[in-house]
Amino acid sequence: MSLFSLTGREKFHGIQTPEEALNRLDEVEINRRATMIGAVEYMLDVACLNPEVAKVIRPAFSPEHMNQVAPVVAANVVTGQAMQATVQHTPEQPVATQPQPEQIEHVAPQTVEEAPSAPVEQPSAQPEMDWVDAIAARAQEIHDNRGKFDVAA
Amino acid sequence: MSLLSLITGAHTKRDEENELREIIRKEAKIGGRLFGPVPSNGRREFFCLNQDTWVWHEEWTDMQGLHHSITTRYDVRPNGILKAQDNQPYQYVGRDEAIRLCQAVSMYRRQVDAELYGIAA
Repeated sequence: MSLFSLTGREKFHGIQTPEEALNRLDEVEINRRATMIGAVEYMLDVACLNPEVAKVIRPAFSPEHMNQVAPVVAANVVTGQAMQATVQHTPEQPVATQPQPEQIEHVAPQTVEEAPSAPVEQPSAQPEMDWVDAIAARAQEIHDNRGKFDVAA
Repeated sequence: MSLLSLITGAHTKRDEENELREIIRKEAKIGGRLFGPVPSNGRREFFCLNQDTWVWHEEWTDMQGLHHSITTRYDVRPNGILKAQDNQPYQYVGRDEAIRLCQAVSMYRRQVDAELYGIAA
């Protein structure tokens, strides 16, 4: 990365193809993207080991289906409310859009439902520059404390 | 990027670590938006930490003004997805949660590709 490297969208201005975009990425970004892609594919493979999950996952992530819903997702993901409306009005495509609010409690219990709707001034306890390290360390701490073989039935 | 590396053009290990953290920060913010609006007094991050690990972090303030945070770690194993959360034992995620997590992960990739790496789905 040079002193004059651009960041964010500027870096990719005028890009027409994925190959062009990759040419603009530096090594760190390429490695990170490769990790991310690999993690996604690995996770889908693991999830699809469960036949019941595979029945839902595989059709939902077919190229045809994702091409159909991708523009909707991309257009609405920035505005969550718009996405909620989209999800509610496309019941035939719920799987490939975002999880609905009532589903969040199953992924991360005690989170969204307990959050008050009224805005309250409460700055995060973690400084912006340290939060990735802090969260990653916390995740590792959870992992270490529980142990790899401490698995509930 | 350090001043030394700017002068010499060298790309140090620390530079790479800082860049990696910055990329993860950006990915995590994008990931946090996939689940709808985040309360104004809250914070949500969802990101791929490494090849096998996904992290959900959420902070919020309750009606009594108490600050809460919860970190959930998903370990993807060849025989299933393990979930570890504060004060709870490790457990394999069930069918429904696995499906929702897969949805979130797939959307994460697509959205991160589009917003961060400039690659359309």
